Amino acid sequence: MTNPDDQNLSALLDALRRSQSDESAPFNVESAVMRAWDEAHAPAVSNIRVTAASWVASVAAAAVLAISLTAVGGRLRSAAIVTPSHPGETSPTVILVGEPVRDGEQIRLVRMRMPASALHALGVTSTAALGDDVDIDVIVGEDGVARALSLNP
Amino acid sequence: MQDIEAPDSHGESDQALIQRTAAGDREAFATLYQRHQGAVYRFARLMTGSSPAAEDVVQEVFLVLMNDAARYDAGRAALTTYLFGIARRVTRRRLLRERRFVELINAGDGAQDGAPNASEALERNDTLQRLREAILSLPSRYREVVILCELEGVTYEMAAASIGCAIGTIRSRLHRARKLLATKLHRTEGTCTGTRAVMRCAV
Repeated sequence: MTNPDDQNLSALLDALRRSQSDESAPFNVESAVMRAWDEAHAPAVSNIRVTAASWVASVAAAAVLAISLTAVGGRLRSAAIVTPSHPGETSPTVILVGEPVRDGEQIRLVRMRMPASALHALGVTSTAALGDDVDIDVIVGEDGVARALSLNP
Repeated sequence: MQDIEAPDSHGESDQALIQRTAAGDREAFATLYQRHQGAVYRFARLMTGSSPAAEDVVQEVFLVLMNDAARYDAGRAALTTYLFGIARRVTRRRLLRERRFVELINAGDGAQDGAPNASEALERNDTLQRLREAILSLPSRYREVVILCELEGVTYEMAAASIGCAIGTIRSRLHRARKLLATKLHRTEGTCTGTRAVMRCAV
């Protein structure tokens, strides 16, 4: 190529196009992209099946939660109790704790069983007798701090 | 210009895949990635002159697609146009931030179509390498139209939509870019011919 005119340039560009037509991003890029997809689409709410083995752990966690809630009892927003709009409904009662869930925030749901008396001590009333256990769902925010409690009927 | 928007023979259309992606279909997103990553990568690689930078651009472009799939409007632009538009923005932002070209693209891909002998293949690779370098040395507004229209087969209309300018602007930039490329290649020809002659004598 001594004096690349327009025709020569077109031929060269075509040769370059053909030479790199199979070039693509390496596999590690695809891995990173798909990993990002998986992270972004991970289930926001996970249910924990209560089995005999996890029951003991749940009770222990309930104890820790009760102590923690007692410690931060002053922050408990009893005014923010959401109850069913109709008396006959069996929807769970949701009690907001601390900051509300932010828009778009990913949350986790931790199901546990705790004594009704512990809830009663916190000022939360339930239909269960004081000696019974109550199933609750703790809604945990992205920062690991509880946002709300949900009392199952 | 070739139509790079058409789905492959055994695949769904881009529009169907983007709808499935917006609905959270991982397989659809993976198919879109497989279908378009090469073009985005080649565009970014020639724009930046750096393979690692091009890899970052590909990753960023598809993360944008992942997050904005629901907002993509097929009526406004083909997916390829949309992706090139994102790639262009990401690449320009990166170039502005770094203000440097970290490496020149390696030669060595050109000897795959049966060159008669090693000497000619070497010479052809050398010519393609000089063309890459010439493209890389163009101002970015000229570089992007050369890559899109001459190397990726994008139509003037699609290039205009990706860049956000009139079709006439694409034509004039491409015309100017080709003139610049020809001048640059002509300028380097003498030097390289001399270098090759010295190498041949040494051998």
